[in-house]
Amino acid sequence: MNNDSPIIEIDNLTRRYGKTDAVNGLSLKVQAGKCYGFFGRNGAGKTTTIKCLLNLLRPDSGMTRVFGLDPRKNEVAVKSRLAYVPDMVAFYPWMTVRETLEYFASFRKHWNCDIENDLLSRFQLDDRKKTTSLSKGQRTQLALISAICPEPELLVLDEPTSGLDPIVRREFIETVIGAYQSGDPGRRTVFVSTHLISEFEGLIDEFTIIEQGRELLTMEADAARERFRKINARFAIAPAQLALTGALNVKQNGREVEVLANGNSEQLLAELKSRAPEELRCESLSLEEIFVASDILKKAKT
Amino acid sequence: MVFKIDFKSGKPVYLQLVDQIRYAAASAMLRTGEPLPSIRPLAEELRVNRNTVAKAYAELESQGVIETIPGKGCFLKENSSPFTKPVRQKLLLAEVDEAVVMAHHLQVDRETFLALVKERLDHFERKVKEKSNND
Amino acid sequence: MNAFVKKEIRLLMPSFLICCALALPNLAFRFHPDGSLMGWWWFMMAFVFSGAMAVMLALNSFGAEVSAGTFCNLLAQPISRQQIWDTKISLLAAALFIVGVCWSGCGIARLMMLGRELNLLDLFSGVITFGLVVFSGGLWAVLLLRQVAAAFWFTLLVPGVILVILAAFFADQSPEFFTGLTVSVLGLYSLAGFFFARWLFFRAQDVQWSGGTIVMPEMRDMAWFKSASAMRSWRPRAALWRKEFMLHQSQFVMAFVLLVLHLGVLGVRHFCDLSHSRDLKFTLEIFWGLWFVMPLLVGCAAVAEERKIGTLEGQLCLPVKRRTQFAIKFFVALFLSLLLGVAMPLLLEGTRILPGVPFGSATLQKGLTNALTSAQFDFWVAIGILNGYLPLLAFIGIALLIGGVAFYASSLARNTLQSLAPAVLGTLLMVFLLFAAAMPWGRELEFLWRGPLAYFIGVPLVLLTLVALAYWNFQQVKASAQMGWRNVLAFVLAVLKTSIPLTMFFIA
Repeated sequence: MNNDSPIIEIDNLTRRYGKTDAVNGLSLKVQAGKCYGFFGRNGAGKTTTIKCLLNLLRPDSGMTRVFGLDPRKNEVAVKSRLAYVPDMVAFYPWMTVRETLEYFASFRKHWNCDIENDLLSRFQLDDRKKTTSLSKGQRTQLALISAICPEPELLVLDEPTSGLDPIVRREFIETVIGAYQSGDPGRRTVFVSTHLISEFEGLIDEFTIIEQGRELLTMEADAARERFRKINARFAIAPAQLALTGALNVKQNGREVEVLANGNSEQLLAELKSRAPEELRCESLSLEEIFVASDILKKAKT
Repeated sequence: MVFKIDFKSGKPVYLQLVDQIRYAAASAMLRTGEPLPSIRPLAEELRVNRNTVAKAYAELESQGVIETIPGKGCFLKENSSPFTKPVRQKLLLAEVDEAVVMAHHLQVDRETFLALVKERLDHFERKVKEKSNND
Repeated sequence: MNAFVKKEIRLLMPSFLICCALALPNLAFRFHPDGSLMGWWWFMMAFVFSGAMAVMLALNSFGAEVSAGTFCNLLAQPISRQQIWDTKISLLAAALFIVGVCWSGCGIARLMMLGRELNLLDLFSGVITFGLVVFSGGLWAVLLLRQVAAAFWFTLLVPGVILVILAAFFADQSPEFFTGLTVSVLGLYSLAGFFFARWLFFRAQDVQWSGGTIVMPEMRDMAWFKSASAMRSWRPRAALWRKEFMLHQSQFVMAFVLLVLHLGVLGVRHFCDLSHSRDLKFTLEIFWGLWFVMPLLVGCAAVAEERKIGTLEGQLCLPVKRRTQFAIKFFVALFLSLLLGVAMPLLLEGTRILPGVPFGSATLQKGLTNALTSAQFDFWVAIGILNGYLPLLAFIGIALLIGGVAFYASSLARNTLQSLAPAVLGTLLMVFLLFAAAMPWGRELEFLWRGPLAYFIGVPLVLLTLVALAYWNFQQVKASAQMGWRNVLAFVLAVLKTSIPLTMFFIA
């Protein structure tokens, strides 16, 4: 396997649930060493896609490849190189924290005990506690530890931080950056599916927004932040007709106007300047705001 | 040293870091011989992709601003030239522009504004003199 | 009828229907089995399985809520606890009453068919006592233990203990006295249990007792269980085996309790004079039948419990072949079925309990051979050696059958409780099919099947299909109705695909 082949490759994936298309023609590629964000609303098809990658669901049509292999045919080969943290973590109720870690360790050829001890003390998890007495945040932490310690090439996270308090959420991100990424930067890939984007904002290299089973936008994070801009203008008198061609969205509230631009911010700025505004501000959209504006994007596409 | 990443500035994250470190070097917040924060802790603290921080450091190294001493960390380079005069003036210009706009909004007229600036400059120089007299 | 009542009815409906259905075998019941396997089987149906289903019906009232996790939701609704209690109690009482009526009705009909005397007093007192015991037991056990499997056992075992103690002290009294005493004591127990349940419910907090699983105390000195703390070694299969056995912890605990009780029964039988009470003696003789419920519980917990805990998805994402995981799970379930369903009762009672032995071994063996030869099973008799071991094989076969069918039902269900009823029904169905295939068909149907053929092809086919379907089900993280339909479809297709060509071949 050369260094250029993608770690995850999805091509025209389709999967139906009853009559609805949970995923409908999704395609994306994840390169090695990247942190890839998979954003979408609840029910957009994120979890379905991930389950197709892990052979928990079989695609109706289309192709999925992980490490260049078919997750269905080479199941064990694929799974021994990745770790998965699901949205609903569950452990065997009779096991303690230590026993749970030992259990997961017995399935892995490689297990880094130093990381394990380091993370246990960092999260202040008592390893003799039974898993049933752990809080939700602690269970997620335990799931994260058991995913990071085998030092897999790919970390798949499905809604990892939903329902957690802000401190635990921060620690989660820090752990992914520190304990996981720093280990072998070129070969540690993270695939995170979430709708809480503001936290992962700094982590994401490239992202895809999925909406109703279809890919809405795929872009590199820096490029996206540069492309999507918000222009706020305030006029002395409420402008009558603002024909701003090419704007993604125009919102007018009396004398204030807010314009969303997709790549043509300079042109729009010029147009607005020509109307002599009192004040003109231009700033980029963060990934979260881009996501929030995605339904506008959707309408623009159709 | 506090770095802040602004996701709304439209500037690539690693470039923001580069700029902030260069600014810190120029304004003597970071002195030659002082170690920069390591990549991993800095990435964790900013909650930014580790590779981004690494990229920023690589860029700084290629610009000759910092150097990596294996086993010890990244340090500001000895003869790293601080910003040249025009560059320094440009940095100040940004702050001045903001003050001018603020004055306009607060409807402070030109003469009053300039008088204010002069007064504050005198005050600042007086204080610096006092301090150097006491030491 | 408001939504709450509708929901309650919906909760009870499946087990209620099954209970009513299980009343029907009464019509074929033979009083004090005469030594044929069929008679013995109908006896199991009429008493053991009906009784078990009745317990489950009572358990379902609160147990289904606990299993589905809706218990705290229920308590959080703006509806008074009194109202919840009244609704559940009255519905359960009504359901049990109807079931009792059906059961007795069929029993009476059968007695009239056989022309035997109708001892209505005995019949009704027995049914009512059992009904009351089950009613209160199902309530207090679930509310106390918050876990269905344990509650199931306690509902049966506590009255069992009372019965055994009474037998120990009063067995030498006259039967009428003994019956009256038993009825009144058990009646008092039911009353106490009912109020205990009521008290528990009204002060219930949403506290989980050991997280919904019975947990064995930490066994520190078992070096085999200890793993090195510093090194983590790659031993996936060992970890899976160990996990699988630990998954059945509750069953081990229950088996232990059952063992203790069984020893008590043996003691009573040995030391007390039971010659006065034929019924009591009979009940104690037949006590070992309870061990057959163990394979049922073991099988039902195998997949469904993992689904309920939520670990099934995680297991499927591990770098282990799914075939391996399934195989280990299946073998552990079967092994424990044999261990707890065959080895334990045989150990305790000895070989006298092998089919037919208490009822006269010679008669049963002859009866069994008759049943089989009547289906043109000369083949079996010809083998000869098999004859001697046939009862033991039948015993093992029954335990494996129960365990296997329960395992399959478990692969379809969302949690253990949900799989219990289908498991019982499934076992019924399987046995019925087994015997139907052995029945001599009319002349007209002779060309379709010769007796042994049905067994040689049918049995392996059904077994293989079920195992394959269970394997497929095991890989579905969520149980759904759609899954059930796919199973039915696959099964029917498999049967058709093999039987039609074979029939053609046979005719030709």
